[in-house]
Amino acid sequence: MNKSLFFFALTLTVAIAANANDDQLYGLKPIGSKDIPKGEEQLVNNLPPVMSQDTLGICFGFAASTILTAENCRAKGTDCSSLPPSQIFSPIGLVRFAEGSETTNSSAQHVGSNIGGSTSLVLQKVAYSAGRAPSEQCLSLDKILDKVGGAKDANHMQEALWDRLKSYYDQYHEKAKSCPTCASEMWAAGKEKNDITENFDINKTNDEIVRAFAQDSYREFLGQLFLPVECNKLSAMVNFDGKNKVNVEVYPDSSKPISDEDKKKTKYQVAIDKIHEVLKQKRPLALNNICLDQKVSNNCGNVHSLVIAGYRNVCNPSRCYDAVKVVNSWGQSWQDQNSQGWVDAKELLDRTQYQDASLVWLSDRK
Amino acid sequence: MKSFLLISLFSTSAFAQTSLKLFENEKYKDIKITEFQKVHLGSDCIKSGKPNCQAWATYSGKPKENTKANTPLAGDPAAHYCWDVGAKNRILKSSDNKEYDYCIFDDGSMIDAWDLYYKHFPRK
Repeated sequence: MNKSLFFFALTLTVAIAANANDDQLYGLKPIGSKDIPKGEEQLVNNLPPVMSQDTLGICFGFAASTILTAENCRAKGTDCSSLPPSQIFSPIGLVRFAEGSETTNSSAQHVGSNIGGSTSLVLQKVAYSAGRAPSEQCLSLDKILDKVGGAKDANHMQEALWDRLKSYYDQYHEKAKSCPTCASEMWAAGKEKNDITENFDINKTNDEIVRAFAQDSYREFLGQLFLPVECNKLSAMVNFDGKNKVNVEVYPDSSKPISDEDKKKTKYQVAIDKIHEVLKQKRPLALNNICLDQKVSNNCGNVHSLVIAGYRNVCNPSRCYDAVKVVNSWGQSWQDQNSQGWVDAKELLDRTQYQDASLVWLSDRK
Repeated sequence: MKSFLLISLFSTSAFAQTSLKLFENEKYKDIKITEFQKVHLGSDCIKSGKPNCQAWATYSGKPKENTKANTPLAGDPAAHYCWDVGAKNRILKSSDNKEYDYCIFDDGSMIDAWDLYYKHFPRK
């Protein structure tokens, strides 16, 4: 089997579900065709091309890719819309930076567990430490889909293997507690190593496999094991120009006290004010924790992340309301059929329930 | 035969056409897309001036059961729906690298995933 196929499955969070669902999409309510803009509009136009996440639950990787690529364009003054893939951060390549809570079973649950705030984790890793990540040229979803026939095929084929791999990882760490050397030797020479190299088609040396096993988290282990070697070369990476020059900021941030000024406002109003402030700097923001279920709850079945790139107030005969322009990772056709991404701001923002790090953005370091 | 070709050519060119790229067998190939009644279809679907392919038959047919991922993170619902109608989802790129989801059927025909989704699940 091809290693790209398995890297693809690393990021895979889909599975066939038997449940019929409500076919409407809630929270992304496009503005009416007759709604008229009123007042000043704020818009970040210099953005990379709209991408698609296919059926994968890695929207936070796409949001992070847009934020990071746009920041590079802003810093360099380049035209983001015409960037070659070699200068666009690969959303799949960024997923490995999303450290989060671990779950115990399949890969799907593992990756899927990492919701809320993931965009901020990815941005922090790239902006504060890594400083670079694989490019779209090296690792793009359209190329991977060609190999696997699509996400659901891949999931079917590999579920059992993924479970086995997780079990290997757990066994390694159990053994390493009492005898680190024995564990390394066992994995370098044992049947488990053969299973991995043969079934996952991994072109790694013994040392590399052992190093992967020694990673602190299963996610890091997978990332190290399946990221195509060529994507780790400097020439296959995009450098982040803002490394150590920007801060990653979030709202809400429960670790900080709420200012007296913010206490007088609703959470929605504070969020809109933050959006104004950031857009003025010509920077987009990521919006996380969006619940797309009909009824928003703490047990949301459809959580989404996207990018906010504009604000305007619009009016129709019955009311005036705030609208934001979103860049959604559901492809250009979604944008074209949804007012180019202009949607009702309150309807969207309220769906985050204003959980921590629902808004994430970059700011200049002072 | 000549007149048939001319008629076919004329009929197809009567619709707006664009070109997208599909990555297949290690390289990008050009895919001609035809807009027919505001629906974006692979141009191969247009035969004798009318759409005639699995993609169009599915579009014109009844909605299928709309399943979804069993994880809390939402993927692209239109891409999911491609699988529900028995097609595969593929990402096609424009010359300026904008990405479009297309459902690709067994006969090779394809349709914009959101055109299909909104036809079967109109916004209320």
